[in-house]
Amino acid sequence: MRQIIAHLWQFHRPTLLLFLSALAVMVFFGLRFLWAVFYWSNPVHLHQPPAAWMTPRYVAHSWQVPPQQVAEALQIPAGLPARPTLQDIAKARDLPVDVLLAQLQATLNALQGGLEN
Amino acid sequence: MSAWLLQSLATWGLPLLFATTFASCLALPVPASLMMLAAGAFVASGDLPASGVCLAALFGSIAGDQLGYWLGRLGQTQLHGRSGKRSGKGGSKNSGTALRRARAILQKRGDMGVFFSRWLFSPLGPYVNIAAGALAMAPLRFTLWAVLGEMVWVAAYVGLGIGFASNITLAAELAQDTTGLLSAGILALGLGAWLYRRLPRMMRRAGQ
Repeated sequence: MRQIIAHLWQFHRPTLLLFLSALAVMVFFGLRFLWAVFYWSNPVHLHQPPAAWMTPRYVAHSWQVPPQQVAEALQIPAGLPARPTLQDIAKARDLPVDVLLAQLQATLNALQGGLEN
Repeated sequence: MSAWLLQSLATWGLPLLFATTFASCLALPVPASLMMLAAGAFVASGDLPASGVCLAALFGSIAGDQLGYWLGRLGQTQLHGRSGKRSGKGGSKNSGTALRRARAILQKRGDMGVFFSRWLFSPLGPYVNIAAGALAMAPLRFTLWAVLGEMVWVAAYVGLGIGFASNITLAAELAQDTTGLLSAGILALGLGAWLYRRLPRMMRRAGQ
């Protein structure tokens, strides 16, 4: 084995280095993949925290809570487009979007606690 | 740009998804894979229709590929005309050889190159389109492999978006890691085979 590496090092150094870098990149992505699986298998990280681009229905889907309850918590004003985002709702309600997101997160935590009991 | 596109996906829906995959096939910096994942998540939540999402993403990418291909083809005709004029002075002999060699590689490996640069090596896609056009790959052959590759691309990302709808951050991360792992793996395999063939026979046996 050592002889082979010495031979390649002497005669095909650039290709050998490229080959080793490709192996290193493989190890990097392999470890990242395993880390992601490990990190996301924790139930605390399972749901996606509310963000401005999401729709109420998507939030309900991600948190596995009834859509009506999310809609009620958001107090969606009438006259919005068919698929309002949380950003649209915050704007229509004259609220900073961060405040709406924080309120929604609190509601979701409460709802989930209620569902689990 | 990326945040704005994601923010507008629910509002503009399918036309925006079409425009995003179209732009990504022309090497414009848009987050096409993230948009497909998010569109898949909206399919799962009932905000967007599954067939519409798949068709919009697919037609956008097919149209982008075709535009890139025909731009390359158009550029090549002009290039050809110019090098033809210069050939009398002997200046373009080398570039002619390079072009012929590139064309030979395309003839031999072009199908797979087009197919894999749609989804596995997708950052290369736009350049492969232009190259395929410039080297006059047969339009039907290009279209066939490009469409097949885009089908894999769209199905993989929209499918991942639907399957991992409750957390598309996780889906994006898994997709990135998998493509990184696969492309590095294929590169390592190719380089490994190249190195192996260059070992003296004696050493090959010793290595086994």
